Amino acid sequence: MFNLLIGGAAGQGIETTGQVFEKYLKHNGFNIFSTKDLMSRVRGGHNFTYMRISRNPVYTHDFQVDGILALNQDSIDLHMNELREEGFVLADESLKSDDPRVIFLPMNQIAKELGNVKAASSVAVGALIRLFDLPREKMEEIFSLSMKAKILDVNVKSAERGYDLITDEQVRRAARAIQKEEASDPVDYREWLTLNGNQAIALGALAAGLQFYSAYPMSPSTSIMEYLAQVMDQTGIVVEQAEDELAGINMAVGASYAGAVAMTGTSGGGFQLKLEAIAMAGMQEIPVVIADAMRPGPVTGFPTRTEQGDLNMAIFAGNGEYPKAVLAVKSHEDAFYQAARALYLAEKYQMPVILLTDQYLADGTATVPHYDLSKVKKVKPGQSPEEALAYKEGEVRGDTPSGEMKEKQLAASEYKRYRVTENGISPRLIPGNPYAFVSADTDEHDEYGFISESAEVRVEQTDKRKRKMETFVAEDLREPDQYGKSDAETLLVCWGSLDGTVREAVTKFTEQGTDVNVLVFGDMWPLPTGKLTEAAKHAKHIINVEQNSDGQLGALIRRETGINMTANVLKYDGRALSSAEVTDRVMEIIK
Amino acid sequence: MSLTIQTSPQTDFISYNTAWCPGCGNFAIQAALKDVLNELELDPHKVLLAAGIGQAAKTPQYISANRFCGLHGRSLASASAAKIANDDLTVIINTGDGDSFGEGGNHFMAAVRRNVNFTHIAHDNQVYGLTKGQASPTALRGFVTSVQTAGVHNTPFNPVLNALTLGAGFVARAFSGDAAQFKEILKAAIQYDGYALIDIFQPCVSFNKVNTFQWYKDRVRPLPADYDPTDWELALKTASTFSDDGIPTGIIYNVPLPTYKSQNRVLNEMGTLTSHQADDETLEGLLKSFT
Repeated sequence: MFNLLIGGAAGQGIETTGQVFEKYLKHNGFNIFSTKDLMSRVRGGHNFTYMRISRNPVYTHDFQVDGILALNQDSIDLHMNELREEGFVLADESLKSDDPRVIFLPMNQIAKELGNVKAASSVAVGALIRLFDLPREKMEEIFSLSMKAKILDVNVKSAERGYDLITDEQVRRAARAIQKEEASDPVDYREWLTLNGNQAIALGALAAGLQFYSAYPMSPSTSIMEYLAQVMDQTGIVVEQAEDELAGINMAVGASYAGAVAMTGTSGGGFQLKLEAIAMAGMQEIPVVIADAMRPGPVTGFPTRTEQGDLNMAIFAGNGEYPKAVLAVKSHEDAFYQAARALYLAEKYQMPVILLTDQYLADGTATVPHYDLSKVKKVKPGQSPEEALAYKEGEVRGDTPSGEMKEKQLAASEYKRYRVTENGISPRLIPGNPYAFVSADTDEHDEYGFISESAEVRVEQTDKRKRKMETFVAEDLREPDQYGKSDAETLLVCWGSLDGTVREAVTKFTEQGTDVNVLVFGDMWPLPTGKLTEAAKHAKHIINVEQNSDGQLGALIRRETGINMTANVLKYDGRALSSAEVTDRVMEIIK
Repeated sequence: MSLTIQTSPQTDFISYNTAWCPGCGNFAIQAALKDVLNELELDPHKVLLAAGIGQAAKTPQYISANRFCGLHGRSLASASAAKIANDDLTVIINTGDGDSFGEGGNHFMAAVRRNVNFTHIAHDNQVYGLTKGQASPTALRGFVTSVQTAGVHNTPFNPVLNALTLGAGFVARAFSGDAAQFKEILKAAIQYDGYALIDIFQPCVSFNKVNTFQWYKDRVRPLPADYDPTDWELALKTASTFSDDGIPTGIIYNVPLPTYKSQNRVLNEMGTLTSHQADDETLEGLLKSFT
């Protein structure tokens, strides 16, 4: 495991540098997990990426670094204290440091000589390739995967110069930081995917059959829309930048009503503008998925940093009472399957499904096993007329004992869009069909979809909608993932993107001889309580680990089960909890 | 075995009982709309009536067709998307001046600029009916209400003038008391390829005692037969005319413009959006780009 920090000002190309080096590593059998610390500005400032590199899967970031690639002075001044004793720094010769671990290279000068100052960081990439003892030959081939043809040549030449500048002695010294490790599984990571969490969500949605995406740009959710917009011609979808957050979801609901698989995305500040329409989808019983890439709030908060602060808002979204599901994305791998599942559940239950992710996953990248399309259920909006119209009272569907299907006529007058059913799910037709009109109302309505002020209708329809949640709990709700020892005295609960971090923390606890049981929730609402109630029975310490200041999951658990947290490990400075922080703080509590 | 699925026998548009006040201008609009839909021989199953919130917004409840009754001000966004998703539908919005230009102001601007093919009938009575009589964006200066007790101070919103300056291709003004003219305008609006606005005056008998049926009747002036609806400057002048000396009604502006669909490659080349989804081969191709 090697942890590299690439730092520079916005506009200096740390993103491209990271991507190129990522590809190079991947083609040489490495797995990469990266997180970004960005300032909310387009030029200048100080941005950096942590890139963890290993021959085995990496699930989380780390703040202790083994190497620094410094493109600006801040990268040295602000991060030298994070560098391990045996680590190294690559820096342009114009930067200043008297630390003997710094390797100065004439990056800018070489790039200037070769005719493109922006290629300076490629000199460093070349040097890194040498320090990692990777082959020099494939530079052109691999660089071409993430670079445009017209800048390829100068970048490859720059990298070759950087490669040649590194001495054998420097390689030997770097080897102390870059420890050789064996892959526990002989996996060819070239087949794996390296992507960010938003791309994973977009791909998952496409795999489920997404047809329409409308949204208003808001960091850190925007790259879902941007990726979909890049591939809209190929995939045949419509991506629409809405006039505001409200239109973003109202358009998605309108498209969904008309028969398209539809989704919208935003971040917390935009999500709160969508609450009205989320409740609308609940009342009209129209499928829609809303992705919320959380960032620290309230309101504008920390635009480019991470938090898990929107759990309460998601669960309590909208006025009144109506069924909805809230799913949290756990990892880059999970993001793909959860996005697809969210669309499937929205369609099955004809309700809004909220997909919570965060800046940590949205902007960070990971290397994940190639997604398996056969595991994704394709979403087909609405039901066939056979299904939708065959709800005549007392009628038996399917084969008769004689093997004959019963003679029957399904007439349009029998169509009740909001039919009161046992499982709460009513027959959904798509407008434009030749059988029946399809209605959608935000007012309370009767089974046919006409607005009604009847007390009986109100109770009947409220109960019907509620039954969808009971069906959801019975058929689709997923218990949390469990790591560690299931009967341990110390129980950690957390949710969403902390998955990778606590997974790594469990390994650290085990190394220290401490038993812990960890539950990581993905389905947040309704809250699955089976495993939790069981685990709590053995637990002396129940510790809530969350990336917010209120301990929202802890409060939710208390509300739903009566189980009290004995302690909290909370972080809300906008920077993601690391496994080391989790282990240290938990040990402090339980010692 | 035999399973027959009967298609709906309903081929005509019919109206249902309403909850409007007797004498409401909405009745005439509803009747004319029903007639025009029948005269155009549209299949009721292929018509989507959309609305936001308000008295006018109840119209979809009272005519036999598909209906989407959404949020206050936001049906413009939902209806646009419904049309983008399912081009087989003829989409018509019936909703009030408060819904269209107050709560829905930004969606109105976007609807004009986006130019999705649907008709927007803005029932304009210069007052809020559903909430019982407060000023609407089109209320005239000095209009006294339960909230604007000293009279309205704001400049009245001019829907047709605003639509024109935003770049709308079809802009009309009508009066519910002139059904013949409204029907003609409505037919042209439905047949127009793009966003079509009809701002139609309809007296609110319960809450607007100033802008009554007679008030409108005394002022409306149908545009002359030789009026040129392709002349934008003339249209601006016509749209700006709103006084006791006369308010011109008719199709103020009517020119073809690039529509949302005509500029969208997917909608143009791949057929109705609801008819296709990315196949596994395409998806594998996308996944490969991340290896």
